[in-house]
Amino acid sequence: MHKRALSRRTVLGGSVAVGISLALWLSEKNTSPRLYAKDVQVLLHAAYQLFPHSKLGPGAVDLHISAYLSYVLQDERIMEEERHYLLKGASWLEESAFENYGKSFLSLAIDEKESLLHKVSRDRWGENFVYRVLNYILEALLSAPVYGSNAKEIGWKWLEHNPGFPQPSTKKEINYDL
Amino acid sequence: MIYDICIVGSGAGAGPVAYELSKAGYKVLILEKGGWYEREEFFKDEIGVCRRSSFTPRLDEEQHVIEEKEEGKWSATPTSASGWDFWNGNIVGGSSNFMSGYFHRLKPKDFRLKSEYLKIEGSNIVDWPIGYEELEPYYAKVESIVGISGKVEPHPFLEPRSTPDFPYPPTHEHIISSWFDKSCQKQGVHALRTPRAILPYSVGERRGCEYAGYCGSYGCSSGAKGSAREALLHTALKTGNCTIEANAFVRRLLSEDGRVSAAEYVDKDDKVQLARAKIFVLAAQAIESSRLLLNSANDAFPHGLANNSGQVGKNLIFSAGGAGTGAFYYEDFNEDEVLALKSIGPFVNRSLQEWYELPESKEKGGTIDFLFEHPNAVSRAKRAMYEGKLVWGDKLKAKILHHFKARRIFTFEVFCDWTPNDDCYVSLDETIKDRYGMRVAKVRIGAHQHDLRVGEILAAKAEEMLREMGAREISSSISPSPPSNLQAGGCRFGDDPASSVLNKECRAHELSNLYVSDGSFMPTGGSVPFTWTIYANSFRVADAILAVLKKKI
Repeated sequence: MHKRALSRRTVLGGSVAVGISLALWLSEKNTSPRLYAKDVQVLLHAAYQLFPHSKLGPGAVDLHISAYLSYVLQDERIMEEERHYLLKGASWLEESAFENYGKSFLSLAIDEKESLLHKVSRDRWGENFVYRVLNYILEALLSAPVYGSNAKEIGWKWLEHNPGFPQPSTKKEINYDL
Repeated sequence: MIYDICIVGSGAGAGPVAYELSKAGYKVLILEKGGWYEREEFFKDEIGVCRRSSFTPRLDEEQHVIEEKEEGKWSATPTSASGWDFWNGNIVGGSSNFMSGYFHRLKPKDFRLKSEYLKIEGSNIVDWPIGYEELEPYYAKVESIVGISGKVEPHPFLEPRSTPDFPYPPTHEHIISSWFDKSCQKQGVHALRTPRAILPYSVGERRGCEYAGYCGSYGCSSGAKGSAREALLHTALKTGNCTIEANAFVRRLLSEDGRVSAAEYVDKDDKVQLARAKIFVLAAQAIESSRLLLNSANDAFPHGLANNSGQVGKNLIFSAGGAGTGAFYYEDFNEDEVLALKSIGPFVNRSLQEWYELPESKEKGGTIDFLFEHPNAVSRAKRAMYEGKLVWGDKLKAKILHHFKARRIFTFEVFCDWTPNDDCYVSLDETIKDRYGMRVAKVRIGAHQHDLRVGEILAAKAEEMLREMGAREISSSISPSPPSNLQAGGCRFGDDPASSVLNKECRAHELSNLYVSDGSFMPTGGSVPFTWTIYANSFRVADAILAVLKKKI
């Protein structure tokens, strides 16, 4: 069949890599690699804080959120400004951490992280940022595992969710433009 | 090569023409702007299909501009900014690939809305130039060729039929359907089995429904859903007379001497090509069909092709109405009932047309379809994100758990007439162009207050039914915002060239070889989803084209 051969998701093959390779990928596209690597770390830690493992259910780490955010940040189907907002939001969160506690978000205690997220979510930028991170956490929780998250269908099992069939199982099957 | 027929688009308006003309031995070319996917390439992939809209264009490359009234003034917002997507499946087979397949015929009175009901101030309602009896044989044809399953049950608004029953029995039904029936019986209303464009068992190369539980929004991986691709284009291709060129975006129709001479399109390699044919059929879905005509202006048609009447794009309609929900809590049922209630796959297949005409006011009413909340998990989980403000951590988890494990949400959809009016139409945006350099459609979406009032009456009836069934947390919302997937009008058919674009055979009044066979022709939409009517009318148009071609031979 004829398909338009676009470049979308040509990088998807690497999307199951861990966060650090995501930082390296970003560093190639920007003039401030150190800054972006830090933003990625802040973004991941914000996700860990927003959806931690608990008695109620799995957390962002269990879901392999880093792999999923790696996919999100490289998915050309998501508008570029939306993807960059995630990192921009992380950089603003880091700034807020220094303003409020004099140290990096990564160095904050759990309670401090929680307080800071509540504080920033009262501002429009903070609410937008937290909303986006939560949105992608829920996608990671309930997407087909081929996207790199929902490891061993942990999210589906937790919610006894029937995802329907057939499910995509290869990268090729979710690369709709090839 | 000069084809006999060139069709722009490949969905419900295109499929019947391609099917009939290629079977009759005519050479058919279909130009489809999107890609070509077959059933083995469809997965229940919520991220790729629903959240990334992989089967529609990127909004930063191709979009619409939507005009809404805000504080008394019209305000235009590009969909790339709002995210309100007006594309509906741009692949071979069009949006019929992604429909739920709730199929209802129009009723005889729907063809004579102006004559049958009191005038609504501020409306542009006209009678159709044909009657129900002219379309009925084609409704029947769709039942057998596209494949509609159901069961005819007598009710006050049952439309006349030329066949006693549907050719296929209903698909398997969920236990809640029987609860619905009991409640209807108590209320003294007729529970109707909703006809579905879904095969209950295998027919030819199409497999029967496999009850995956995810029908609307997804391409069918068994072939049971009656998309134009599965039900019609495959057969057309087998004749050897039909060629489908995917990734071919038609940017304008060229004309000379009152005839369309060529379709100018951008092919998959981004090269501009001309397709020549004796007859051209436009079926790009209502908004895009009007847009193409408007973008095809030339010296003879300075305001757009076939638009010297100024009618192209006018009287766009959608389906008016809204939706509502009720929750069935598992704690209210015994273990067996809970197990049955949780099952994914079998269909609800129930609707009400008891108030197709409102008994008190004798106004036109509508249809209420009942179904379960769409099982897409991310969109369901996202509803837990707010509680006045954003919540996260265990609070969010508890809410998600409640939504997924404590209850099942039953929903209803209200379909009533979208009253055609001067504030609902397609034009071209002055500045925004798509990636092909063509001006995008600007769509003014003014709804008539009358429709909201009728919608509220129907929603109240549906809520009563949910209450009778034992649902909790019942609510509904009737909105002036149109459902972007249910669009029609813009190129009305009619007898008067001054007030319509097409004649009764859906041929342009002003161009002797141009037909429009999607939902654009509809002056009014009935109080049902449009797809069955679009299919039926396209079969009717195919017969009209065949008659012309045979005469010429």
